Parts: sequence; structure tokens; C-alpha cells
Amino acid sequence: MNDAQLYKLPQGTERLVLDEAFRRQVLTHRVQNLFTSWGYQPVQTPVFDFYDLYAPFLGTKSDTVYRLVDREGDLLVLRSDITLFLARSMGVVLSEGHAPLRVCYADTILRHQHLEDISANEFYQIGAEFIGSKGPDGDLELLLLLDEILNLLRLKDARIHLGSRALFDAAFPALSPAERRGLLEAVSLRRWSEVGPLASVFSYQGNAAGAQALSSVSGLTPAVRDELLALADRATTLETLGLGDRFRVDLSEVGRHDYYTGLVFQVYQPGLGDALATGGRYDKLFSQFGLDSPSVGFSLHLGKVEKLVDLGDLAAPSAAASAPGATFVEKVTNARKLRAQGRNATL
Amino acid sequence: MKPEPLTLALPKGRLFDKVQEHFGQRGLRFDFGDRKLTALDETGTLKIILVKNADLPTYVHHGIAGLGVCGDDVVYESGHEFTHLLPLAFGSTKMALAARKDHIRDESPGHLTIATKFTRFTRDYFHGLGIPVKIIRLDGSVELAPVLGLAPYIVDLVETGSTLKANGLEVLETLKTIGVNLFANTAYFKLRYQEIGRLVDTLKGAELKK
Repeated sequence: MNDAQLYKLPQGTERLVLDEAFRRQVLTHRVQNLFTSWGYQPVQTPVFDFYDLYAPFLGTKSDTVYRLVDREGDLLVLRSDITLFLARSMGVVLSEGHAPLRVCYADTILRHQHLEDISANEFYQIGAEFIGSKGPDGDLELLLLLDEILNLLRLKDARIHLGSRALFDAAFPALSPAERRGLLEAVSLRRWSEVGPLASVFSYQGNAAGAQALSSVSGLTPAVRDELLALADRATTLETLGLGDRFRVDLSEVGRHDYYTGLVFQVYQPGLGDALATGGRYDKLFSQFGLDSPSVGFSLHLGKVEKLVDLGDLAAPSAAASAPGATFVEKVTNARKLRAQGRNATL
Repeated sequence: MKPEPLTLALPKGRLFDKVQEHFGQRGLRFDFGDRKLTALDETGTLKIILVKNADLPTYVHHGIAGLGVCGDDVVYESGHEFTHLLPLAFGSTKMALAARKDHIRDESPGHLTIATKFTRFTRDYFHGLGIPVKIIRLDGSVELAPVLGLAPYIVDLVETGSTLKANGLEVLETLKTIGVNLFANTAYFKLRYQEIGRLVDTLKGAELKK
């Protein structure tokens, strides 16, 4: 036996045992119940699929995915991003003009992480998508659902930052793919000297009224102004619903993936070095998989917050007491009584 | 209730005194007691932790410190991405390619052999120019490599050039100007952008009168 292999995990996977695994099951179950109550139906995507279908969307992340060759010589990719795998699955299942469909998922993803970077915890995604949703109401529905998940997980200090890829595209309409990628990075990392005169717009963080006021800055094109107002409009609705503390307009949010086309957002939680959840609108993604349908969705890395969540008075199975009794039959009888009282008991 | 202080990681070594002076001149005075690695500035705005230069990006990446000050070179080698806040007007230096004064320029096709501490920068820089490189990683006293025959070229930070000169080396080319920056963990910035914005304004400002 190779001892070095025995104690090491291959890069890109995780091991959860006992109380940790129980915690994940409970939280997943709770979030799934919430999804069900909002009318979201579960979807399970395949663990691997043909690499070529996804290659155009992987961008700079292509070096983090695991590839393998199947028995027929086709190149496969392990599931590294559920949004992409879901678009591909639903693109085949649905047909043009389908009724809007709400779906949700909770599954593991596999991608390479640096050996030293153990804290990212990006192995398990839980999320939702509203396929066929057009316009602001769909965007708002997903944001409200995400807010409820954060409430369910009792993350009252988590903040959802709202930005817009459509605003970026309106502001910088004619860029080569490489220029575009560079400028997206410059905006999101706030390297304003590379952004030019529109830096004063993209550096904005604040409430809906401020974003609205920004639209009257002179020199903006009508397309930029429209996108600013569209985002401010969504933020105004959220503030009207009493959620002004949870949401912030943050125009340096322009989306991490190439496939975003409209609203984009990320969730930040004190104590975490990276976003807890990301999402947005991707109206063109499904068309790459044969279905012309707009969509909006988000995914949350549950592993990043599992330890922070208070499970309440739920007793873990590890806390089960052994049932009293002199004989096995007595023990079974007593264990049944204890379990009927809602307690955990072993024989 | 006074908000919790912002956490800032500073590098031990050549930059520390300059940072301490620059911050102090703008009203953010702090002092580390004997062998202590954390300190609070006099206004209670900043909690400062002192870490090894090369480890600094790791602390900020993981959010242990929300803010950091160090050179571009260190951030680049870490491979992490941060929110850029403010270039600082001191500690600037140059990343240079150097060799022995009497070296014969290697014009043969194939790999250029370079000894350096900055492996990521060197690889990306030369590959960006379409030049294949073979890199030998060293952790210090890189000037020795050409002298002892480990590698004909080195890539290293050069301030005055006196160390190179003393070892019979010369700069062949300056590859990049390396600045010192204040930067933030991206998520930390999002949550505390208002306080961080005020700090940046203070640091951008002129020296306070004593």
C-alpha cells in the first residue's frame, strides 16, 4: 500500500464525514424545502460530459477542469460548473416556446485547486435558475429567493452587491475578446487608471437613488443611461420591499463568466475572503445548446458557510444515547419510546 | 458603537519604516512593542499585523487581513487577485534582466536559462515575448548564479545596482517598474468600502502639520 496516497486527497475533491456530512445534509434539505415552496423543481446534471461542448465557455478557467478520455476516444470534462451543465441538459429537454421553468440543484463540482488553497471550499454548489424568464420580474424573483436562503442560513450580515454586465457592454461596445477580458478584470479589481473616463460611473457603490442620479451625468450614451436606470429600477423595488440593507448597487460588479448578459450579483459575508454566491442573467447561454431561451440564476458555495450556521436545537446523530435495557428486546422497546419523543437512540 | 478597526497587513523589512512614516505623517501613527506582531494605530482605525513580505498576499487572500501593502512583484508571484486601492509614492524599484559584464549573448535557438526568485513573472514575461525560458528557482543572493556558473542570466529587483556591480554583473534590460500599492481583499472591500474609502482619502492627502 502507498502511504502517501492514503493520507492525501486528489486535488479538486473533498471528504466530509460524520457531523460535517450531517450538517451538509440538513442544510441542503432545508434549502431544498425552500426551493420547493417557491415552485422550483430539482434537476440532476451528469457528472461528466463531452469537453468540446463546454470549451468555448471555460475561458481562463479551462486549466482548472479535469478532463478524461472515454472508451470511444472522446474527450470528457468532469462537472466543474453546474450552470453550464444545466444549460446543456435543459437545452436538450426543452423546446422553443416552452413555458417558463423554475429549476434548482444541489451537487458537487470537481475542479483543480492549488494545494495551498484549501479554504476556497468550492466543491458543492446549491442554486436555482428561472429558465425562460424575461425582464425585471425574473431578476427580482431570483434576488428575493437568494435573500430568503441567506435568512434561512441566518446570515444577517451577508450583503448582495448588484451590478450589470449589460451596462459594461453598453459602455464598451467595440472590444476584441482579449481587450474585453482585460477591461472586465480592471473594472472588477478597481484599477481605474485602465478604465478611462467612465471610471467615475463604474466605481459607484450605494443605493438606488444614487445610481439613478448617476444616469444624469453628462456625456453618457443613451444605451448606458438606459442600463443604469434599469439597474436602479430593480434596486428601488428591493428598497420598497424593505430590503435596502441587504442589497447594494455596486457597478464594479460586472460578472465573472463570459456568458452573463444583464444583471450580475455576488454575495459577501464577513469573515469570508471570497464571494459566497454569484449569479446573474444569461440570455444567450441556452442558445449555444440549441434552445433560444433567456435565463437568470445563481449558485451558492454552501461549504463556505456550513460551519457558521447554527442548526438550532436539532440533535446530531452523534449525540444519540444508547437505549437502556437488560435485554435486547427491552432496549428495542425503550429506543422506540425515545425516538417517539423525538430523541436519537442507538440499540 | 465604534466599528471594528480595519485590518492591515504590512511587510517586515525594507518597506516597513517607509510605510510607518507615510501613515504617521497622515495621522495614522502606530508602533510595535518589543517582538509584538500586531498593533493598533492611535486613532483606532487600523489593526496592523506584521508578516513576512512573501506571505502577505496569502493573509489578505484568505481575509485574515482585509488590507495589505506590498510591492507588485510579491502580489504577482502569489497569483492572487486583489482590489486595487492606491499606489504609494515610495519603495518603487525595477525588475531587471542581468548578466555578467563579460557574458556572450546567447543567440542560439532554444531555452534561455535564467535564475530568479520571481519565477512566475519571469515565465510570463518571456513567454509573452515568445521566448522559451528555463528557470532555476533561487530564494536569495541571486547574483551568485552567473558568477558561479549556475545560469548565465538572472531576473531580480534592482534598486541602485550596487550589488550587481560588486559582483561584476550589469543590467541588460529593465523589464518592469515595480510599485508599492495599498490593496484589499475583494470581499472585504465590498463589505467595508465606506471606511476603506475614507482611509484612502486620508492616505492620498498631504502630510499633516506637526
